[in-house]
Amino acid sequence: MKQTLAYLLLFVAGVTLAITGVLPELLQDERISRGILYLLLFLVGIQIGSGRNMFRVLGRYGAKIMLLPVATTLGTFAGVSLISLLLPGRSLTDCLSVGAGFAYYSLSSILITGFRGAELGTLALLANIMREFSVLILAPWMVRYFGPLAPISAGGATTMDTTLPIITRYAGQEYVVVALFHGMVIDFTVPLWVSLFLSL
Amino acid sequence: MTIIPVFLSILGGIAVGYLLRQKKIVKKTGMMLSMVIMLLLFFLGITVGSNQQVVNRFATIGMDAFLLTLGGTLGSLMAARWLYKRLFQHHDNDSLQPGKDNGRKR
Repeated sequence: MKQTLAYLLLFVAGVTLAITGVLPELLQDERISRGILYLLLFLVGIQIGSGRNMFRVLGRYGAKIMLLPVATTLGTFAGVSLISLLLPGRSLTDCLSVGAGFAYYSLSSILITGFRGAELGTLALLANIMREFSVLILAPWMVRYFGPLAPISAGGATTMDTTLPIITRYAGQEYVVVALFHGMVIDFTVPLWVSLFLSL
Repeated sequence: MTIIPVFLSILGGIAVGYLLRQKKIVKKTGMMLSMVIMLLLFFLGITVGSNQQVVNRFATIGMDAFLLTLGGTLGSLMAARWLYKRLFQHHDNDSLQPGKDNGRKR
């Protein structure tokens, strides 16, 4: 929560500085943020390559636990595809790239801005922040109507950090490992899905 | 911006991460990652703020974002309910509990 706030404040600071115009030309050079973007992806890669927890958990709980990230992905893509029919101004792949953020708003919005510009990037930022907040606010309701796996699915990539406490509180302590594993898997598929949809 | 450098950056990171997986320095990746994300979100803010089109269309963008979130989240909720009924509910829930050795015959 504290981190989310820091992220938002920095974003708002950037917007404010740009609107008021007190900004050196140098900072508006796109090559700088593009360079940092590659650094970000490189670091994401290091995290994936050095972490073996995912496979250890898989060995322990069997293949069943693998199905939840698959369900989350398919359910999200199906829902987003339906909504894209209501949004004639936006292509299916643009909508899917937004959905493929799975609440990982920082990475997805940065990637989408790099490929499609600030308009869709802003949309991705807002949509994925909303997704995280929906779990923080509606987790008890999700458990009641959709079962204990529901807030994990809805939480997407955030179920291993920001939404984990609320999930275990309402779904139950026995879902900690499921949530952690789900978050790890979704987390590392985000850059892959997003760049895939943007390249189509 | 093409897609190839994106994949190369991730794949390069995976290779380096795998090679350094025993080293202490990889434990700092998470911290470095959040610092880079903060920096990039600041830059994203600058890009958004200096883009008049985005500022003017903010309400529309927000509405589209809301609808996409609604669709994506509801879709995942229904998938989660289906999976729970099919696979989790009728089996014994203990298999999900940490600390128990279900599925391990050793």
